[in-house]
Amino acid sequence: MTLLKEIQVERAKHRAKKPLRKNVFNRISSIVKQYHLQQCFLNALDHAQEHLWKDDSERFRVRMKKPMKFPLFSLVTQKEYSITVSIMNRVENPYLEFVHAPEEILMSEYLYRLNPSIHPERLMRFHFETLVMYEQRKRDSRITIKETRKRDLACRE
Amino acid sequence: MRRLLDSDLELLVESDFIYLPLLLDPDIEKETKKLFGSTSDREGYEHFNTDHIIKHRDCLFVKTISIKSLIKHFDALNPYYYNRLKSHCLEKYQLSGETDAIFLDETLELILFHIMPHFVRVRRGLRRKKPDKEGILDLIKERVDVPQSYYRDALRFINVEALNRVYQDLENHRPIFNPPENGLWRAQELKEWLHEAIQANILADAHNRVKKTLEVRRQLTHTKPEHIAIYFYIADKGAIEIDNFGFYKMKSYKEYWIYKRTGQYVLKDYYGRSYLFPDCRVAVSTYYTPLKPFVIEKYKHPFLRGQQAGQEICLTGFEAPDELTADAVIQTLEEGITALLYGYDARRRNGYHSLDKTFVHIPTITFEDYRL
Repeated sequence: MTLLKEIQVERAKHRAKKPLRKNVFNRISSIVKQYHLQQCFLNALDHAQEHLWKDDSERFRVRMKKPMKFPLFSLVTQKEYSITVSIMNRVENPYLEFVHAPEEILMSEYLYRLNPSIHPERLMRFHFETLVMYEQRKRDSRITIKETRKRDLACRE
Repeated sequence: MRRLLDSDLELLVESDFIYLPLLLDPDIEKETKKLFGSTSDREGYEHFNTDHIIKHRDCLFVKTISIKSLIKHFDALNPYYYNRLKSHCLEKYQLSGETDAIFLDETLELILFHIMPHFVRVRRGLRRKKPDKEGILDLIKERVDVPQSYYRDALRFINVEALNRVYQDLENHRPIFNPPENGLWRAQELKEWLHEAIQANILADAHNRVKKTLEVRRQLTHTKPEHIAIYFYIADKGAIEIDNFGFYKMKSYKEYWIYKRTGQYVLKDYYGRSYLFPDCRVAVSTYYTPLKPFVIEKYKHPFLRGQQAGQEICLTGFEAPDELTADAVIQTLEEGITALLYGYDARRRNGYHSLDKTFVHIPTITFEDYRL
């Protein structure tokens, strides 16, 4: 590539329109605004892992995400801003980009721990509760298979 | 702006400006942090390098609207709401043009005190004495059922103290409203303050009207409230009828139709057959000269050309007066009524139509339905 072409390509790159991406702040602040989230939600976030999946294994349901419109630019009051920032600081995982409800914010961390490589299309389509159930069952079945194999091996030996 | 004032936000007022809570996103937050070379000036306040953002009790506020210009241009910003406030304010002090105009209406005075006494019977013993102004108004009070609300309005109208205070303030060039105190205001409180300020502004604009109104009211301080209530009733309803005599105000400026009812009457035709004519109102307009009598209702009579409302009565040998005076109106009304009741000559069959069929002309109006 000649120098001239190189310069042309570089300039073309600069000139190209950059698509405006909806960022995590817009998403979380919109949820905070819409659901009037308060400080108590942050407390719930701290203890989310403790009591999240204790007794839910029996009722499995497929939940789709609720449709929700997120603005391109979100402006919030000082109080809402501090809550939004606190949520973003406490829940640092890439799944936060796909949450649609406070419930999903609570589950995102756990889901990420279960499976950090879920396809974005799935994340956009299904409610995190469904995905958590699915991933958990998948993990449980894997464990049971491993255990049965171990048991089989032990028996053979 | 309206939504803002209807909200439950807390707004900051500082040196005649409304400051709104600053809305944040990460970029704005960064900028405010950069600006934060703050200088505290007094307790609770922190100003940044610009005066557009203020920190008050750990909350950031951004400078938005000047209160003075908001009051000054409120009529352009929200004309509908401004007009509502204006009419409410003028109503509160009874400053609407019509209220005062009714007391200065010369035509109404002519009708009430010079024409009405001629047609209305005043029962005061055996003597028939022409009643004075008070007597006429007392008579109207007796015969017309004026609702209590007009009486209450009259009492408010006579009490000129509030208006006098407003006028004195305007004359002394005192500030028409006190600026709001600096500090946090609930949006609703600020809205109420704003309303009062706008109303004060409206009163200042109506300075001349306030002066004129005060003059009128000072003249009326010795008038009985019942009598003022009658004026209010007339201004509102625009009509009064007593003893088959009445008048009502037309929409056009200072035009009244003064009328007298004929009552039922009988006319006879060439063959002596009787025809019973229904009641109608013979009226004179105070606006159009020369004064000519006409019937208000849809009516037929030998002296009327057709059968529609507002027809002039055919009169011979009557010179219609050019000037509006009490005598001219009385004369015109009497001429009209006399013509309808006694003007038809059965033998001559005078007028546009005859009561009986003549077979000479094809009749356009027939009176067979009136025949007894």
